[in-house]
Amino acid sequence: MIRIRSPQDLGAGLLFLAIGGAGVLIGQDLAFGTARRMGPGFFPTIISALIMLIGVLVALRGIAIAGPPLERTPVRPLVMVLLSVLALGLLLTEIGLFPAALVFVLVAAHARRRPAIVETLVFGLLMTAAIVALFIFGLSKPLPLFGGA
Amino acid sequence: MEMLDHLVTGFSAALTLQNVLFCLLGCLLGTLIGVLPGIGPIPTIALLLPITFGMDPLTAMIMLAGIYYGAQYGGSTTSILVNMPGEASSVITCIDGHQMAKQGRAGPALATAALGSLFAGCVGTLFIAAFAPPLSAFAQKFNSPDYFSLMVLGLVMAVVLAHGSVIKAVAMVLIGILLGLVGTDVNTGLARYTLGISGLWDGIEFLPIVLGMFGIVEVIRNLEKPAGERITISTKFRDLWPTRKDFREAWPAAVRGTALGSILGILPGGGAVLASFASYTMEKRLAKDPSRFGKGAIEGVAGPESANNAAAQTSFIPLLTLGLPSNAVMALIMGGLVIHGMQPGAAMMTAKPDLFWALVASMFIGNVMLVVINLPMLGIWVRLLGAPYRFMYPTILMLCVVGVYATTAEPFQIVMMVIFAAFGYVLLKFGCEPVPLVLGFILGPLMEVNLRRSLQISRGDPTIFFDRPISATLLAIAAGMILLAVLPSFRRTREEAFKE
Repeated sequence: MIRIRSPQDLGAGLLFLAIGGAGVLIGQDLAFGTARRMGPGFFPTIISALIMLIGVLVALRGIAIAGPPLERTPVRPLVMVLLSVLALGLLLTEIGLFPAALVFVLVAAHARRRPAIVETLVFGLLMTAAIVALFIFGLSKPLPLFGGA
Repeated sequence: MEMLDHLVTGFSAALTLQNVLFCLLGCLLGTLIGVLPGIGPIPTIALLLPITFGMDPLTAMIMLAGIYYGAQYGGSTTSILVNMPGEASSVITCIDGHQMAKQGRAGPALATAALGSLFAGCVGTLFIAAFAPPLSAFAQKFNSPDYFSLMVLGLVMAVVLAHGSVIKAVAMVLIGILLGLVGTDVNTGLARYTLGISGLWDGIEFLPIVLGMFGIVEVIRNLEKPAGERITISTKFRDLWPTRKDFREAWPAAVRGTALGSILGILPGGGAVLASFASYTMEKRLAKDPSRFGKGAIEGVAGPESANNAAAQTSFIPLLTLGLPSNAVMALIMGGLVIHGMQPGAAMMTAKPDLFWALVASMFIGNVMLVVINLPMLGIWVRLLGAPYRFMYPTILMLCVVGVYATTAEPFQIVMMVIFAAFGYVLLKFGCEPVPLVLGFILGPLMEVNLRRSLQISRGDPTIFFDRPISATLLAIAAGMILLAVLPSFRRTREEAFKE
């Protein structure tokens, strides 16, 4: 049984391997050409191969040499923050800046445990007003306030 | 003196009431966004850049200068007050700056940083005015192989100066290059790595990467910390002005830092970081009592702050002479200039000297404006940073979304930002520092073009990079840097320097 001495390095190594591997694989569809006449696949394939090489080295190092353990990864902030941003971005054009911003503030507030709902709502309204003022009136950006674009 | 004449012309073009007002606005907005914890100069400038798009070129340039200095100063303010560096070059300021703040001397620390930056910024600008024109003549000797080698050197520097593992930083640079190549190949018009997604035909946008990997990831990481460890601000904020003793101790350090920074800033790939580290080390060596460092020594603020500002200023030189951005911020500025029809490079200097001198003049105006506007407003920034994080983080997230959307008007780019936030988060958990990735992303396409041209010239023979004297010299320096980075003694100092 192989003991993992540095999970951070092993993780990084495997991630690099995957990225480099994908780069080489997708690059197969592109003409490689020769050094004299580089095809569109030439440079990216070489770069991807190098990423894979480093991936192998780092992964091996993760097995051989001790390193720091993985940090603990609380799910709530990660998921709620990403979700709120995604929601705001996708709803912006569907239901308008104002309601989208409210949805966003409510979801983002849950990145913390037990947010105060009233405070969040009041703050959300204030912030929405500020952003609306800045972008629609200040910079005349074509963002719909209510409703789809 | 010819330079003086040029400067007068530049100032007379730049100094109108409208321009000065926009410069002021730029400084204010730059500082306002820049002081938000975790938002360094890169995302700040990225967010504010679109504001200048509709303006006439000169006004846009001056406002850009204001934003640039505001963003940097905002970063220093956050470092000193809450010990949260927005970027690597402010890490050093945290050490003694935050100690000063803890002792209730935040005012003098901030004022010293501002005055040191003003001095360094002005000297750095003079440096540009004096050296950019002759250097641009030299830059015209640069050919594709030389450009390629220069970019290699820039990336090597970025790797050597990154936090943590050198080999992971190399991987970050390479992944950045690969990401930069996504999109339509300039040579054949073929779509590369787009996975059939039409939103990727023009390549991956810069803003979603930067705001996702730096802005959003920073918010998540802050929320992860238990409540007690989160940013706390020293409420003691007595007087603003440094004492006479402070001045006496600070000004030689500022002068030395400026000299060091002006020279190191010209180097491609992270001159500002190198400059602030070098300055701190030098001040510690020169001090009569080195034990004061780390406990709130004012030289430890004055030196590195001046050094990184001087370097930030002279890092315009590679951009203006070679058309090559040496760091992510310069790439943003270059993007801003190009939109207004100014392609930085040796050609701009000869074809549009008026614009060059107006740019130099706006740098002076921006520097002065920053101090004029910021010193009286320090109290406001301090109070702003005192706001609870539960109000701050939704504001930061919202700015990221609206910033991306306002520039591109495509919801797809917001999805990209979320993807890069997730990617950046995973990278950090695996101990990879994402800053080198950004430089790789910017330089990747340029490297490919120059590699292709070089190999066409040499008919596929790679020795062309060693035959040309400029290229060979640059590669030799890059090799030397790698050797240094692997040497155990340098590694130890590097690790010590990065210990926060």
